[in-house]
Amino acid sequence: MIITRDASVYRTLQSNLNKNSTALNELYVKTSTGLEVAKASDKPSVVGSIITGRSDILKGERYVENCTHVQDSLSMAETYIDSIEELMTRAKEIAVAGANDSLSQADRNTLADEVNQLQQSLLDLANTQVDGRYLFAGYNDQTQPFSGSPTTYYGTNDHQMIETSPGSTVAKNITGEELFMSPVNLFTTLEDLATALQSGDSGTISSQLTPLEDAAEQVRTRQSQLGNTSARMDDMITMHENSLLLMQSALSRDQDADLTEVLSEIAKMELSLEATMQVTARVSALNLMDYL
Amino acid sequence: MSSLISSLYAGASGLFTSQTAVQVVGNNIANVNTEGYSRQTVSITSSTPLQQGSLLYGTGSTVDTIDRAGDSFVTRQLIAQSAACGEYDAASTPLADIEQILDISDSSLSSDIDSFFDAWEELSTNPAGTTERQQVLQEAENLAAHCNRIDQQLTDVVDGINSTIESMVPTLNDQLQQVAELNTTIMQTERAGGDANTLRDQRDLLVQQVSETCGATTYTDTNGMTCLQLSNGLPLVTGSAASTFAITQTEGRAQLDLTSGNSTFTVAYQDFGGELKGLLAVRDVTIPAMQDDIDRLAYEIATAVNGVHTTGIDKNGNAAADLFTLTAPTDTTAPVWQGAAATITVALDDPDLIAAGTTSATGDNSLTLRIAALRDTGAIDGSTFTEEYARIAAKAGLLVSSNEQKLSASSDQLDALNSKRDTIAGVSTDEEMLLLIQYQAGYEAASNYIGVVQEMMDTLLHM
Repeated sequence: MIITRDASVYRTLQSNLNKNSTALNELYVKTSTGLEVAKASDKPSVVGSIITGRSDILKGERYVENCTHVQDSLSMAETYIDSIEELMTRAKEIAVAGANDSLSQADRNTLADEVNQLQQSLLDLANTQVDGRYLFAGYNDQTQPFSGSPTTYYGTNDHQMIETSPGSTVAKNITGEELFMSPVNLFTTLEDLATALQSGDSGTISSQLTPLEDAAEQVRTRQSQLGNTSARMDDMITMHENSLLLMQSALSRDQDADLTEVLSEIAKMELSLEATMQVTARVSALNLMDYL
Repeated sequence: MSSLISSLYAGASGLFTSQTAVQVVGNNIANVNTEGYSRQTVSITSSTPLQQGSLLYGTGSTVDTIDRAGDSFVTRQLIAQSAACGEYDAASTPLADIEQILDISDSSLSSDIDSFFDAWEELSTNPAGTTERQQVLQEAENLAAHCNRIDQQLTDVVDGINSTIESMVPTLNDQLQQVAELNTTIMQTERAGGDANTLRDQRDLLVQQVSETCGATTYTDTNGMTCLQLSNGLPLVTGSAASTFAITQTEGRAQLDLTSGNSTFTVAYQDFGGELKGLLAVRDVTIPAMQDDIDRLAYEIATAVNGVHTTGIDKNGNAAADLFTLTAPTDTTAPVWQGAAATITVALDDPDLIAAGTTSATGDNSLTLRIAALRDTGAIDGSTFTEEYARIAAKAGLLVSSNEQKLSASSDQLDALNSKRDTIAGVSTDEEMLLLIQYQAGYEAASNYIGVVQEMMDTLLHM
């Protein structure tokens, strides 16, 4: 056996030079992209978690947006419901005042006028429009929901559901039906109060107190429901944001390069490339012909 | 007693021998970088002695043969390893292309799927909004276009492989023809008593190249001719006859036929080794499987979305139409999703034709939620759409990484075998330099000897 330096040593050196510089190049690319897994073959086993991770993050961000959207929409409704509640409280005060036997019919008529005004305000509130959409109209949010005499509800009983976490939805609206019409009809209640005040019978007026209280209670129920949902949205946003952080760090763990590790790897590879180059130079300097 | 004349001849034979040896050394040095060259050595023997009386006198030396170093076992291993290395090397380029097409970056198909369903989520917050509807249409267009693009790019890879194969075949035919011709020439030369070392080197190299291209196995027939055949036994070269490959175009694929004598055989990827096997396997197995997977994904998304969408009412109050159009395969036995990725398009162009709900009410967003929920259903063998895409991309990645490993292992082995061959048959300049000194010294000694014999003859003549 002979050691054929000419062919085999050079071949080995060349293939090692190739290998080292390819590896070094890959490390340089890793540093510049910051990605450990830039293509599927880099680590096929984590491709699934990278892709679903990315998709979960997008969904998580959407859920946060949706929760905020529900909150915005509910707090918009809340300001109007607060006014409705105040309005109903005022109606009750009027009823209490009107039931006082010492009141003259003229005073009662004045109160009845105020009730009529309240009724008009209530109708205005019920037909509240934000961004061209009626707040209390169910699905028919571009048609005026309340009109006519007696006031009739033309909206629908549907809630616009918004997905706030996988598979679970929250209503972003209160329908006119549940707030104004059923079980207690707020318009009729005010109508009845006005009629009672005009009739001047304190007994009839007093008998309006219970329906008025029921009506106010109906509004307050919705009000607290909104408050609860809004608070729940806060919790959900926090939850989604926390899980987003977790998902992002998991994604980063899966696909990002550990720069410290890559840099130390680069130093190591550079050293070995340099050594290979030096050896290559030395081998070609060794030649019998120099001594002949 | 021997004569001075025969002594003179003995000296002359030394000159000739050394000169021949120097010539061989010179040839070795000149071919130090010739691919496939096998080191040659002179085999020097002592000439037939003369008998005079009871004494036997040597009559000098002669170059018996010029031998070619080599080990048929290593050559055989080299042929096999070249085929393996060729297969993985040829497959690596199209596989890397496929991996690129089915990428896992932010702009992959799975991101388009996510964005599409996200657009429906967005629409759920404002079902009558034109911007949101436009967004849904746009994302649907992107999704369909990405499916089309993947299918087109995979077809482009197939085209690329076809043209590579087409360019390989003439060279391969030429090489087979050359092996057959060399078989004849070598046999004739050697029968005539000549030595065919260089021709044998050429033939070994050609056989190795043929094997790298198509994975041939070899055997030597009774005439010493090298015969080649495919792994399924079809003959490539039999003695002095070479088969030829021809290409026919079938359904956009370059189909290979092998003509041997009067028979023609259709050969598929299994029949080959080497580069052709690598290329054909990617073209005929890997890519069709990928296309089938992407077709199915496109089909399932389209039919699932259409299925829900058509239960809705569009903004104009009409029953909603399909959102995606697919062209059903013409072949009734094919899976229903065949060709879906290539043909998927968005059927609607007017945002008002999108159904957000099941009633014509402007605030009805019930359908958007049902469509958005499709992304979480295990529609394809229990996997969601993005999970299915991840599976396909991971499969492509796995093919690439396993091919890379095999390529690196087999090219290491090929390197090792080549080095082994070099230690047996390669030229070492150092060794040749030493031999040169040795033969030069032999030449000098022989010429000095002739000078001495001449002086002796002078002395004799002047007596």
